[in-house]
Amino acid sequence: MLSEAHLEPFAESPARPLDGVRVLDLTTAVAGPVAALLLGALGAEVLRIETPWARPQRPASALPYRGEGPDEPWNREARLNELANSKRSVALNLTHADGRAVFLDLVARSDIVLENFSPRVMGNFDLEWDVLRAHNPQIIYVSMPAFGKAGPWRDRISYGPGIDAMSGLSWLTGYAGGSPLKPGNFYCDQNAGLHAALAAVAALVARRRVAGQTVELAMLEGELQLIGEALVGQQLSGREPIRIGNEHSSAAPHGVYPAAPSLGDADSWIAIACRDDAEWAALLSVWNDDALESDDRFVTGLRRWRHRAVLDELLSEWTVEFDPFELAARLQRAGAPAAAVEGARSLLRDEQVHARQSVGGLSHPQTGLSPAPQAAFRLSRTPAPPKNAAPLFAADTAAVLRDILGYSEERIAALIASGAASDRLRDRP
Amino acid sequence: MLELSETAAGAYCGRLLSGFGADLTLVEPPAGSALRRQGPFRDDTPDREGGASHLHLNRHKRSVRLNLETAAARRLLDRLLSETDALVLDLERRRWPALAIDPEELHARYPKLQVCVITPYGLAGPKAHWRGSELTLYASGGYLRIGGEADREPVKAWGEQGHLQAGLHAALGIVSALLAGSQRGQLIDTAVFEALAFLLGGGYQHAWFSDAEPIRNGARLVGFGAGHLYPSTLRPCQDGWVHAHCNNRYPETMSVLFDEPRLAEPELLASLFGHADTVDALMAPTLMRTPRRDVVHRAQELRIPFTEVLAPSEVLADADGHHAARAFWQRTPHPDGGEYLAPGPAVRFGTTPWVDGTAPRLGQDNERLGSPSELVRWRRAGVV
Repeated sequence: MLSEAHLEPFAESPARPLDGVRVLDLTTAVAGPVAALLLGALGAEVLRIETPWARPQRPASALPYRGEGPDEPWNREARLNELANSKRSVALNLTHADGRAVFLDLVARSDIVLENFSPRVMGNFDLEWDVLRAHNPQIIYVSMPAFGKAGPWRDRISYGPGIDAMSGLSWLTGYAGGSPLKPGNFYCDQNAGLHAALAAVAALVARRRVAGQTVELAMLEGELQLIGEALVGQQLSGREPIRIGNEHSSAAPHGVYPAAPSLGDADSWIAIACRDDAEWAALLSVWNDDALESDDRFVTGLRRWRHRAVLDELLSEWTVEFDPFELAARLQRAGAPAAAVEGARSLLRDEQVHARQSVGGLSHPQTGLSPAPQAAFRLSRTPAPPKNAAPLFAADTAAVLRDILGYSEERIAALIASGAASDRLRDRP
Repeated sequence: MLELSETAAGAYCGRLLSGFGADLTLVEPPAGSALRRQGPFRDDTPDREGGASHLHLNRHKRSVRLNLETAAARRLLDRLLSETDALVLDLERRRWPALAIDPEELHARYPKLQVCVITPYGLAGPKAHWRGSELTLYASGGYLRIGGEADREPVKAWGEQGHLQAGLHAALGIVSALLAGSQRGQLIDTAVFEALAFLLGGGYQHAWFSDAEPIRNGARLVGFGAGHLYPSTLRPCQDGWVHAHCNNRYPETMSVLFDEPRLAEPELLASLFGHADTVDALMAPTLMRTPRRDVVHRAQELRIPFTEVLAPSEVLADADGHHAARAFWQRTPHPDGGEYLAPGPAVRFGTTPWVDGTAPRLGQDNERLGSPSELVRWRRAGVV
């Protein structure tokens, strides 16, 4: 079983790059929350502005109940909690005149507004760019619409996986000769989140010379960057690219091969990629099969690629005898790129993950120590690991109104009583 | 900025920053960056100026051609570095000694320089010296495992998504370091496998609390219980495929789209994911007699987020004129004549616009390195 020995808590950072920056995070689903959590880890104070009835009372994937505490499944939802780390939670009703006024007070004291609504929604709240800018000329307004704020598809709706389909990436992804597949669970969302966080920080750098500005990251346009090779290549060659699964266009062996059960899991595989003769020789030095070395079908890269089907079959018969982690280490020592097919569960046990703290622990009041991944870069002077576990719903409403806006206790109580703000989850009116 | 790169990771990192307006110089070896050798090419004829990856990822960059295996070229690199704010480096670590490259030493020698190094597994740790390819790093990052059919080997997404994601992380690291203090350089240690591991967002808490791995699920989402909403999947229709997705707030509207009352039965709605096969079967008759565009059009009218699965040529053809209305495609001159459509901005800034530009010819900016007589001398000595 996994234990706390597998999860070292993240250390506090002495200085983060975005210290002193405040972000108003209106985002939902996946893409926006990823952008916001990256900005939070980088040091921004991210206020997650949630509708008072935003979270389902009985989420489908609430964590198993652990330890003592109130029965509040909306505070123990695994995916939401992992995506809400490094933020604070403030519940405001933006359709209430007083709730909107509180939000605009916050805009005046913030650096970034981040939203991923359909394009009409900010207009419905009367919170479009000219309104935000009037309250703070330095504000950076980052939008993450699915298709963009203009164009014939502006008002279409889609989640990330639907954009994977529209970009061409789902069409390209899949086994050789097979059907199209998703390129991951929420790949487009994660990609859009990173692009939006990057663009927001770039706009902060630009603000040394220009005022605040709008930043639009259409999820579709963020993903089209990732298949530029196919889009440009199709025009150059005149041919549609094809699905090739794990294969390489000119090198073999290059695939995923069965391995002996490992970590109690029969779904056990190893990836091996020989891109040139030297890496093939390295594989052979471990494989240690004399017949292969002299086999005419495999002596050059081009021949191995032509005979890749039979080569994959022979390789599978060999790899299936071995633990994938041990075999990968042996192949790497010999100089062949190889890796066991990891998953979230094995990564929590992985020594490289531990050495870099790719995944670390955050302490949550209701779920205890829980894991979160950190971004793939380490800054030597201003480290930026995740800084706090997901906040409980509306936990920071009163403190934010008091400490950032300077509201009196009476005023805060009146805002909560009127439903403009909330300090707890409410029923949808 | 300077870019010393041979993979899509360094190239995309550089491209993002050149898109933001950075004056970026690609330092290439005599044979040119490895990216130039990646096709497709026009007429299938390899051409170091005309490969698709180069044309896409190296736009708005300068190019100098330096043989860093010579000491004179390394002195030229030093001169460039002394005028540089940020360096992105993704050359394979085994080749650093021959080129006298040492990121720690560069960080110490140029205290104002942001030194961003992209390696497969990072600069330190037990796997720091492991080799990595796109495929093996997909395996190491855990993102390979969730792709494909449950009864087959896992399959990765098309292309070099892992390296492109690493490029994004690296760019975020560089821009953040510049914000933290452009006069104080940092060493930015970026690992490709970790960019892939980051994509599992949401998966770690499930693994932590259940000590189990999710099973691949074909075109369906992975790692959810029977009570999760459905569909979110790819389904065939009369003339291709659609991405089928219910409206998360009103999943019962699927019954209207498919004129199928069974899609609104309470028992089904209570456990949509657990009834995924049934939902697929109930959608199939309508889908198989309806073209993609019509399915999507009707679904969107009902606020159900269906989308078409488009091939690259269809994305370019832009039947609804969406990309054209947004002026997304950039008509770009091909180095050998004619033009092609290049993807436009990743991000649209209101006052500091994204820069498109063209990819450089190999060594086109060598003249910036020194005087004409110096260049003649260096060329004879094999330095440039």
